[in-house]
Amino acid sequence: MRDVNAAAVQAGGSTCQPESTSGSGIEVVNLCKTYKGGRVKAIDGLSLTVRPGEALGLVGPNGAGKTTLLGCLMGFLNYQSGTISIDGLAVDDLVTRANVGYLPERLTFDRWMTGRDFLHYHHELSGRPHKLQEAETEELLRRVDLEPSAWSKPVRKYSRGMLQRLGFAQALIGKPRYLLLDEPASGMDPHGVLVVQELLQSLRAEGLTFLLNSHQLDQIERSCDRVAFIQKGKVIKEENLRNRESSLSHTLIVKWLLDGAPVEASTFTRVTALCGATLEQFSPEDGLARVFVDNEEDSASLIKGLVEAGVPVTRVLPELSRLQRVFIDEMRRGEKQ
Amino acid sequence: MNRAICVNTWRQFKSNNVRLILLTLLILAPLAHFTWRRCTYEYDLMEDMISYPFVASLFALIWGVGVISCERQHGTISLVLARPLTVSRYVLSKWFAVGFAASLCSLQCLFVEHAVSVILYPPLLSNLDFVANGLERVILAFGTASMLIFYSSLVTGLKDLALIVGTLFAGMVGMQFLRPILISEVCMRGAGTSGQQFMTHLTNVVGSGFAVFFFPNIPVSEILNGSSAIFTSTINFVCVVTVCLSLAIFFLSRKEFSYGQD
Repeated sequence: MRDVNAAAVQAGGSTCQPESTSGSGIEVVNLCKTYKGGRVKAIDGLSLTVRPGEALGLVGPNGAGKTTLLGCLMGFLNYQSGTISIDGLAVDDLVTRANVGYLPERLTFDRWMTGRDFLHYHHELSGRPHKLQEAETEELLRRVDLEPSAWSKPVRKYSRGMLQRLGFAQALIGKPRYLLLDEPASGMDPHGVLVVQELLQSLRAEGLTFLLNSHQLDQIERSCDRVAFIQKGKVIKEENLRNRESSLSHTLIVKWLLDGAPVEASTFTRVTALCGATLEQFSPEDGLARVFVDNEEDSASLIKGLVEAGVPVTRVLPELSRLQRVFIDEMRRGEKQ
Repeated sequence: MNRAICVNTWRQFKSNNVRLILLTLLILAPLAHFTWRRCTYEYDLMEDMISYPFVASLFALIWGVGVISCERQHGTISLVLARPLTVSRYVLSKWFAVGFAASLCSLQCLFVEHAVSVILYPPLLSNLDFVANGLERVILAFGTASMLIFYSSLVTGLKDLALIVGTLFAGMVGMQFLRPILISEVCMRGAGTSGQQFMTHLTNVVGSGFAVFFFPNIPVSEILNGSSAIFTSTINFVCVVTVCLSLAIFFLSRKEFSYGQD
């Protein structure tokens, strides 16, 4: 059987993109997956939709079924019931496989291979034309910011972060329309995390659809349009990160300049009371206070009141990010249930 | 057949020092044996000293053990099957890679042995026995490769080697023990000559099946010498290869791969 991408290339010249650029996205309906003969339910009636061009984050505690979901989406795992379709096709369809890039959490390599060999091998497997092999692999290696001196080194000499970068480059071979990423920044140094962050943002700008499983909530918040909270094999909540928050009931940290006149606690108590906020902590020696506000209006009048009262405010930050708050709320709710 | 998988399989072998040492030993051992025999005048120099085609099976064993099962153990198979590639194509590529490599090695071994014989006695150049021997080696290498691929698809790691040795040993022991027991029981129950014949035939058939499975070959030299076994042996060989590869594809398509575990 001919490779799908090779066929696409033969039909459409040297294009890197699969022929069709539109699709119906990823659709998971009522998926159930069990292990150990049904005794362990990894996924329990999970339903999920990812529209084309959308970036969806998967958040949940360890063992929630996120990696199992990615395994089912890749066709590595056989599920008991439910349906999965990518662009309306089954996951094991060769067209689907040509359109999907995958980065597992811990990538395994043939130890004798060099980074360049590894990408050449996958380039050939994905059915890309041989004449483009060198140029495309080098472009990918540069894109993931892997040092050129490491390209010809055996992968057994790579650090964890370098392996992860190589894995990311492998997932981008053949310019897939869908990317399934399982902890892409796992084991990376801070620079590597920033590279992954930039990569994810550039992929989003290119209109790539991706599903990101990560425990780094800030990474999801920056890169994804939507987030699905998964617990015990079910989606318990979905949050659209591009919408304005409906309520802003949370704690703010207010910081001010320590060089000027001292800020009195009474000033803070008066302003917060006027705004309907609650002063939780006041540390004049650190130049910070923690204030609980109910909504965005209270937050705005608090900042205005503090400035008018002569407090040299330098920063007002939420104590927890939006996703962190939702995550904590959902986990608490789950524990109560 | 996928070129990338074949080339990668060969490069995998090349990177394994144990396999390389075993291959070298296997090439040199028959040569050393013949040289020793020649030195001790056990063999005439006018004879073409070439080893039996059976050597091809050993080459296939060295190349083929763990060919799929090690990829499953290390998890590298998952990324390969995540590409637009069917399981059947993967299995056929592995089979071809093992069969081709084993054929090449055993032919190399044959050429060296024949060359030594020709150097010692030049008229042996016109002896074409080694062509039939070479053809048999190629057939045997691909046949054994299919059997190894089947075993490799069942387990992970190097357990396939244990499985092959175990089956072979159990089969041989079973045949040795069962044959007299079955025959004597039939005689004791008074089943008569026909019953005894039936059991003898049965054990022979099982034994032949066992031999065909572990030694899938077409005896080219015997056929060239006028044997009528061409049809049976060809059918046997095709059956073993087809059944082994089909079963490997069947089992591998139903496996779950490691990356998916939470």
